[in-house]
Amino acid sequence: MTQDHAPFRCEDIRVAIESKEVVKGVSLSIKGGEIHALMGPNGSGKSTLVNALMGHPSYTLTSGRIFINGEDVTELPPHERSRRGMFLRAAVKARVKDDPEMKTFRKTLIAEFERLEIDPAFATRYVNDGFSGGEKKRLEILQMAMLKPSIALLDETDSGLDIDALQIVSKGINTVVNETVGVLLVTHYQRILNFVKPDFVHVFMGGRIVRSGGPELAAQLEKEGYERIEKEVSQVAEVA
Amino acid sequence: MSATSTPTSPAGIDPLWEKIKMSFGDPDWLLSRRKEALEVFRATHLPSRVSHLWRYTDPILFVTDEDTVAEAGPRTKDQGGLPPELQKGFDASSIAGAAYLRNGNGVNVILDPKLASAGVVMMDLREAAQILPDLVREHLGSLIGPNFGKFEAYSSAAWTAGLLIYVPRGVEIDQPIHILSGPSGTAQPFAQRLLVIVEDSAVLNLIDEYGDGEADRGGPSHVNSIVEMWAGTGARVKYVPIQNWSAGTVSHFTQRARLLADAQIETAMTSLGGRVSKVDCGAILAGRGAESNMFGLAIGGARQQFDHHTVHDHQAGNTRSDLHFKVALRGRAHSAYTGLIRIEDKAPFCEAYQENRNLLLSSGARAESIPELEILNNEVRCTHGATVGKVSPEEVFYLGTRGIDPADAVRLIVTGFVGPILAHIPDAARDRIHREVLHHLGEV
Repeated sequence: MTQDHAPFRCEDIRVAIESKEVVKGVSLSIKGGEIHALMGPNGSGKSTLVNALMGHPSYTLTSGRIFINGEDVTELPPHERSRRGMFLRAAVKARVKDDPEMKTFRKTLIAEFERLEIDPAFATRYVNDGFSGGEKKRLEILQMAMLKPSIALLDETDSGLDIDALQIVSKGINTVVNETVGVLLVTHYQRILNFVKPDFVHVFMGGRIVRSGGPELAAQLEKEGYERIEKEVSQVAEVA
Repeated sequence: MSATSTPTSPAGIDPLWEKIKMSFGDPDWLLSRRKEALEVFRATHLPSRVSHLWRYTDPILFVTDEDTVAEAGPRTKDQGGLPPELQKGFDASSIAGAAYLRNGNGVNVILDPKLASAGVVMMDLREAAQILPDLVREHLGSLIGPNFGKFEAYSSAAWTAGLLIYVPRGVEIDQPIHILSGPSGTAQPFAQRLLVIVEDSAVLNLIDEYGDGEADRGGPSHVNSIVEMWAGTGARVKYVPIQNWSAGTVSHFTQRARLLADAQIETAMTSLGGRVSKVDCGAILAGRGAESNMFGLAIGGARQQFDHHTVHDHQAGNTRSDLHFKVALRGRAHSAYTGLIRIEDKAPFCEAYQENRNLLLSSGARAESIPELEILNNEVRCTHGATVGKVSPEEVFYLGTRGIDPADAVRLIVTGFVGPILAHIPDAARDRIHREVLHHLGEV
């Protein structure tokens, strides 16, 4: 598979918020079946990066290109990126009149509820009807399973979850990932990586990926914290 | 109706009274009540813009040229069947009865024969005034009479179309009775009236629909409607008023339900149409253990103006009320909502809840929310809440991440907003109302 046809690729992404550069040039390529963990301390710009990749209207790119399955989606609105397979692939246009489609949808939905061990009572609630933080995250995994994306950007999926919910969410991620799906798992601490094994770990600080490696990098972070890497990075910067 | 007091006419004759006397053919007791009501109307000044309930809507809007008041004409039992939209709905398996109140005169009624033989009465209120004078005399005007307000006084004097629904003790009508008022194509203003009596332990499910929302069919310029409902001990009433007047209509709607011990009413009202719509809807919890659950929805666009007032009057102890009123507006539509919860000093252990939420879908739309609590007893639980908000860009973005384009996202958010209210509308009307709601908001 050539790099062009990786489910996800971005080049030199820079994002400014009120003229302050928050993401300072990120390039990343994620192939099908790969789980990439993006780890960094609070306030390092991880969420800004992920939201900008999805096309959030509050974050504008000052430079960079974003590709889904080789197609440049940099200028497309969020729902078009989604339909091309980012985060959650395929159109979920409300099909009010389309009965057979609806029935198939319900069948698939109920099957996914069972597969992911999520309470099917969720399906009877209204779109914006007071879900708790944990419930929302579980639902997102369900939506991901339903939409079968090419690239799933999972931002802070683990925060605020108790251990049972964390296991359900992790199981969901592991279930959904196959050789055609790439995952970018954004987290500020290591706990979820006990359940979801990343192929690559990127350390994100000050708006940049400062180090990339395998799963061992996450273990090192767990042991030593971000401080040591931060020190090393600043020494490198001084030398340069 | 005239804005001034008694109009100048030869020999002090009130032309409206002449019209009522000549053409209505009512029994004497009813005529004398009409005359009294007309006198009250003439003697009452237009409400002041600073008085309670008139801060948000100019009363002059409800004033009509009385020369155009609809002719009542003779009462008629059969006006040639129900309009097609009601006929379609009249399947004995889905509704129990239907009535059509035409602008001016004529009431058509169809009722499941089984119910008729069980003693249920549904008939032209003016006919009932002749045939069942005791029943009608006792109840008519007792909840909303001439002294309720100037426009109620007018309506009490000049109502033409009317309907009586009487459900005897213990009779349970599970399927809805569906009333449609008004879409007759005439632009004349008119006043109408419902009297609903549900005796002890009886059950009634009533859809009370006004207009058919077809702007091009025209509609009355002004409508003045009064609904009085009596629920006996342990009675259960479901009441679903749907205001869907055409775009030019100015409507004034006043409703009260009075509940005896352990009676329950669930009201699910929808306001969709009209140019100006003023609604005063309330339940009087007069017996211990009575309960009212009220759900409301107002959906507007263009320059539509809504003024809704709800009342939960806890006159007895251990009564319970719950109210959820939602408003979604686009264009330059305006809504004012005032919700009164009143708990009397001799009514301990009451529970009352009130929530009003407003969703603004354009920068020109405006909504006001004014809770009014008069709590005279300390042993009560009473809470209220109000919000006015817009569709958040975050929500639209979130749905975008699921492949939903912004227009569909807004539609979905609105559907989620109104859904919990729509859920209380009976099957016979729910899908249609949902489509109307989306249609009304179609240009967001």
